[in-house]
Amino acid sequence: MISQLPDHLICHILSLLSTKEAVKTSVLSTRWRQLWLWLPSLELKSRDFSDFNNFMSFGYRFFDSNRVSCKHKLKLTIHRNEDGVKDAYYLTPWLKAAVKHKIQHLHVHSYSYADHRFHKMPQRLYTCHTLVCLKLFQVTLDDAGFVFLPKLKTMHLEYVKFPNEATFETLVLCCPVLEDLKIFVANDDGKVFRVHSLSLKRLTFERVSSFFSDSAGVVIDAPRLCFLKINDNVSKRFIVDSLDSNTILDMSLVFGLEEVDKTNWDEFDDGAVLGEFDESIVSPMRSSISDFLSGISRVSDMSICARTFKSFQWLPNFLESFPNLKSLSLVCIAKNVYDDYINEINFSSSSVPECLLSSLEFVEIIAPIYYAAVVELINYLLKNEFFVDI
Amino acid sequence: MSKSEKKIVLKSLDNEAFEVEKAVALQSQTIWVMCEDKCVGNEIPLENVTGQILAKVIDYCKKHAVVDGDGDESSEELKNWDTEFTKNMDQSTLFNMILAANYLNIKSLLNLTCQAVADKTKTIDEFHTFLNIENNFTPEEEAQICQENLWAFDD
Repeated sequence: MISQLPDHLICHILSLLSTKEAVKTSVLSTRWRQLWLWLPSLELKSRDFSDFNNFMSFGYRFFDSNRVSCKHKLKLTIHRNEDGVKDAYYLTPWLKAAVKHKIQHLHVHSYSYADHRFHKMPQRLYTCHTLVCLKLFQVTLDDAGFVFLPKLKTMHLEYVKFPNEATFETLVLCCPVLEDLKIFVANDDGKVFRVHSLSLKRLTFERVSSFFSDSAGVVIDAPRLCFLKINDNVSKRFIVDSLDSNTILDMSLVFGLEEVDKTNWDEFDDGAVLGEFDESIVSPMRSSISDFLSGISRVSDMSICARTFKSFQWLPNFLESFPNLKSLSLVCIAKNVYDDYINEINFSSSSVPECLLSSLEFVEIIAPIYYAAVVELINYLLKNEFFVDI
Repeated sequence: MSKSEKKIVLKSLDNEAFEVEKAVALQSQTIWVMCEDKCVGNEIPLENVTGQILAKVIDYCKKHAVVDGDGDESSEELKNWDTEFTKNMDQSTLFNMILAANYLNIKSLLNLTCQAVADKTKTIDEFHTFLNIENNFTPEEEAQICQENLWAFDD
């Protein structure tokens, strides 16, 4: 009975099975033998195949571009192969076929070869008119010439290699309905990432590395942003165009100040006297931080990591930049190298920040209570008649 | 809007008539388009669906029209209701429900009924028994297909 359903409805049922279960239906009867090839969605892991050649021949059959069938969803996981297939020449025709067959959701998750050569995504992907969701992990993008992704709403780029800064900028700029963007920057990437988008609602940006770069930076110009999470210990320059008061902000930034400290300590070790910071280095930093603060000053809901205190040094002064702040969350989870920073908060400032007097309703401190600074902070809030519920 | 305008009559293949709220019927994209086009009056003939199946489809639409848009607790309840709804359907009912959901273009019902088939057919043996599919391959052919897709059969 079910066998008599039209092909597209059988494929609908097959698409609700796992890829393996769906492929197994090929032995049911002659009617079912080829049906799985018309599957609209496919999840494929190279590791599930006994050897890489089997994986490739399977792929070539499934992505036969002469067959007319829609491919809505494709999730490819390519593990490092030891079989000597070095170049990813097989992937390009598969992805081109997927684009031709109206792909909507594309995930390519690849593990790099030992020599850090990543799979390269074809140019054709940049003009896929049907793509709604694109998630890439450890791949290389081609230089973006012409990009137009009119339906793309979600883009996650994790440890993706960009040939230049313009490629990322163009990629974001040419997605007119993009709402959700997540970027995890590769370890050694010191580029400036520019996010210009009129549609973007959620942005997560992460660049965590022991590597410092003078050139690295982040520019965010997205007036409709509701959620911004930014965790970057590499960049020194952040430019955020005025965030809306409804935006939820979660940040962990060091503005390159750890490096300044390190240099000073090195001098100290060499026997030199630990003096004042070199004004020629600190002054431009100070003005860049102040510009950054004025860009985010309207937010009312903010979460900051303790390490960020290093850059702001004094919490009360820092709070003065946020007259609308309603909810503040301070995070310093485990005892770690950043411990010093929370202890450095200076409460001697005489003026009381405006938000403490008016808007601030909720303060959450996620930190071990034995920190002297935490106790001090609570005392400070109490002293300023802020109601503390412990 | 008068009371009669809010109601709509759906007529099955075997001439059974069902009077339902418009909001219930409009979950079907097919009926929605028919109403938009104003090519039908208050009575909509559904030539591909029997009364027995249409009654079930209407049950589903009524349940989903009432609860949609409510809080989390009711969505949990709705899920349970959906599970119960398809749990004891035999193959022929599911077959007709899938066709009806497809014809009436009710996406969530199509997903639900297809999922019900998928849930009952996890292994090849379950496929053969639940769907009554007769294996018409020769043993040689079957071995060849297994060989072609070896990775899928290796466990």
